[in-house]
Amino acid sequence: MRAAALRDNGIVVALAGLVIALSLSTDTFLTKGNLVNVLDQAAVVGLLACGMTLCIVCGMFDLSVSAVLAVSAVVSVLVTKSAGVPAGYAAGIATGTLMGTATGLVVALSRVHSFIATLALSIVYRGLAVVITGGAIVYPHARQLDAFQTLSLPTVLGGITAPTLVLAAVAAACWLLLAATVFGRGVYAVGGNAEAARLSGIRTVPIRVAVFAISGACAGTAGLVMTTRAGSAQAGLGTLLELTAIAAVVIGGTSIFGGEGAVWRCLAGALILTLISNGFNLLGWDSTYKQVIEGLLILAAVTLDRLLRGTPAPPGR
Amino acid sequence: MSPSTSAQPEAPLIEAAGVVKRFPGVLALDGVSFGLRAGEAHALVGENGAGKSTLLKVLTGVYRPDAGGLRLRGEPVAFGGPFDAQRAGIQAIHQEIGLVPLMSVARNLLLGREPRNRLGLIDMRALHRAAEDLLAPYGVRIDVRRPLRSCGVGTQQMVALARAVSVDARVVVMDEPTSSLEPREVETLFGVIRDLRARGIAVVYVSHRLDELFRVCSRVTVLRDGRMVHTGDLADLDRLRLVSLMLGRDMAEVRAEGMTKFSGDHERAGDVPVLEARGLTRRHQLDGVSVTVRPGEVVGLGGLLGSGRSETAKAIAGALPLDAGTVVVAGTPLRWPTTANATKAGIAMLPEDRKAEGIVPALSIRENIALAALPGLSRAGIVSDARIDRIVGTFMKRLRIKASSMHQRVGELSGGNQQKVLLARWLATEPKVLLLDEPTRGIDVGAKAEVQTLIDELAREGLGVLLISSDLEELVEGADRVVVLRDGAVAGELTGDQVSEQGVMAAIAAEPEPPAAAGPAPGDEAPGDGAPADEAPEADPAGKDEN
Repeated sequence: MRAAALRDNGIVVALAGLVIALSLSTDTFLTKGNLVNVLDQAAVVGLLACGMTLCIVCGMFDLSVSAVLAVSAVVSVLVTKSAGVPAGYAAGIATGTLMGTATGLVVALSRVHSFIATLALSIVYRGLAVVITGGAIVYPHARQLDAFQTLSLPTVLGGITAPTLVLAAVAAACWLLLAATVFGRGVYAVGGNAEAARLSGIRTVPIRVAVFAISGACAGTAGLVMTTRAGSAQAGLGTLLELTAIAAVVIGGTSIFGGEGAVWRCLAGALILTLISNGFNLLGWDSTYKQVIEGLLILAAVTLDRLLRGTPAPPGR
Repeated sequence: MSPSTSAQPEAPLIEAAGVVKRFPGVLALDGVSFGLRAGEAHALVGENGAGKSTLLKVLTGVYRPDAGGLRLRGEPVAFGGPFDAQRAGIQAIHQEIGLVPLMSVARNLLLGREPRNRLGLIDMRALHRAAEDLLAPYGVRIDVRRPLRSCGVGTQQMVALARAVSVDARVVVMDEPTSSLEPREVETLFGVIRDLRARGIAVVYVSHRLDELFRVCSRVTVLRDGRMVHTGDLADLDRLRLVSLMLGRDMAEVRAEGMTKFSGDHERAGDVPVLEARGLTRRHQLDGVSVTVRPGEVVGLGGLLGSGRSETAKAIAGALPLDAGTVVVAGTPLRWPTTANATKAGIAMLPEDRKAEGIVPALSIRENIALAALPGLSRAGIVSDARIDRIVGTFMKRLRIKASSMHQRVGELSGGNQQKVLLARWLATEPKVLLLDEPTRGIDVGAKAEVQTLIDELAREGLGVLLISSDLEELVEGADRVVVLRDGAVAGELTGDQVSEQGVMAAIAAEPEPPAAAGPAPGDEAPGDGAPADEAPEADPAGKDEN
């Protein structure tokens, strides 16, 4: 049981340890400005990781999220130009959802391994973004810029930025879906043993399509956050963020083998990754070493998962 | 090959002395001693959870004992891992372990010691010749160049055995070796075991099938609750005594209750069938199979492995696409056969392969039981935890599922308890028809009796039950009526007094089409059946892939 407890709660201990260490070693960490900043920075990866958590619990990977993010961002800017800011926001999220649904249909119906199928689709989507923009950076009209950037600004809630609140809302919705609905139980069952789920009368294809659709919606929202922050969009936006999102999920302790995990875990993972960056900045360390630390952390998380799973089960089989 | 000419036949080849193995919360082995002599076939029996698997894992170096130790020919040894045990000549036969499915049979047999030619490359001709020589004693006549994966399960097991024995084995551990073998292959296996014994190799034989133990084993060790309760010559025990040792039950009680727990006939309820399967047809698997089940009736589905029993059940449950045929539940035809629609209509199927098709090992008992019934345990898509707790609690009590709590992972339970969890999953859907595919296979005697009692009770409560079992005794005593399948078609139906082991066997063995030919000379038929029988088990995985 001790192994299980470590697996279940190790991430909380690690997060608390990191917070304490940073509080003690710097004067600046525990300031309101810095904390708001950390939460703001965690938003994009956090959003992607929420959708990714559903995919991974369902036994699949979605490597197309950063490309979906880019297309959604570009579409939202272009629609904003022609139809205004609210329409642009809606178009961004709708684009992500549609593209996610398409990804899900391809994966569920082609039965190509999700890793390969979404890798191929991510190249297609990234190419699509280049086609749409013609390789240029796209901007909203200058008069729209202030309104367009509303989504990246601090709010009346103690200065916490809008992206943080968006992440909180999306995470709450994903948590509710995964933990409290029939659909969520289906996601766990399909990820844990797809054949058993099918024979239990669970429709596996709609569940698979749905998790990708949700992942796409999350990516579209993340794209919106990034593009409103920058005030522009381009085809290369968010490149490789899908790997950071997977890292956040895995560091949080969701099993890469599917069937186990939770949404709060990916938030913890995203926070840890953000805190490491933040720590490097505050301590004035050479940020080139940051990647080394992040890589080792991912390796440690996956190894721990493997090791804890490898502990002998009680007898009787 | 080992020149293990047994000098002192009484000195144990390998011996476990006072072995203790603890797992969190469980004492799996409590001072177990176990000796294995050269040239004997030693039965290791006990209910699930008795400690058999743990003892085998200690012997094969997978687990290290917490106390006590092993002695190899009188010398104390400590295995650091399975590799050490293998080097000491202890080989375990699991069909998958140590073999490479994509490589040819020959490469697998001689992996790591392939014959080389002058250039240092593998000499393929010599390799194939050597492989054929190795396989010859095992009655396996296949092209050794075929990938192992393309062979039947039985053949794969024989290849594993041939390889293990050829790699200097002194002890061969067989855990449920016959569970996926055809009767003909079982005979070959028994011949091989006799051969191994003659060469001084010791065999540890684990099986739930009592007949087999008495046929091949000379000695027996009985484990119960992590303790050794009996060891000695098998000839000194009769079946009843052995069962009572395993169960820890009184012999008179066992005798009074019979070997299975079925009470016999059920009152025949309404005449309107609760299930009517008409003309189920699927290329190469099913050929116009029709089965009818009335409420309160247990219908047995008999036949050999590969005769279409599991396929029939799967087809009825919407899990196998059909070329033709309809399934009618309580008068209403299933319009679009999917598992979801079948479940909604009131069909429940307990699949044959508990691990691959049944349990979701990472989820808790609670989640596993609630899985199929979730739509009924929720409102507007939000699951009701209170209702789930209530129903899970009820079934855990009714089926006597042994676990630390309903939140324990199903993967950690014994086979019998996993099977009960699956039964509970389906009973929670309040089905009209229950399709049971080998409900008692691979579970311990106690759980088996409980499951059989439950089937009886359920039928009496008005459920229609379709029972598939390779255990003839179970089939005959459990069913009111038996439909016998052969080569994917109905070969006969037995009712009333016809329902007997002899009746079922006669129906299976009867000559297919021509009404002539009085003596169906089974000796002639068996070898001719060879190839298709070999292929039969593969039909299943192929079918599973269909969605």
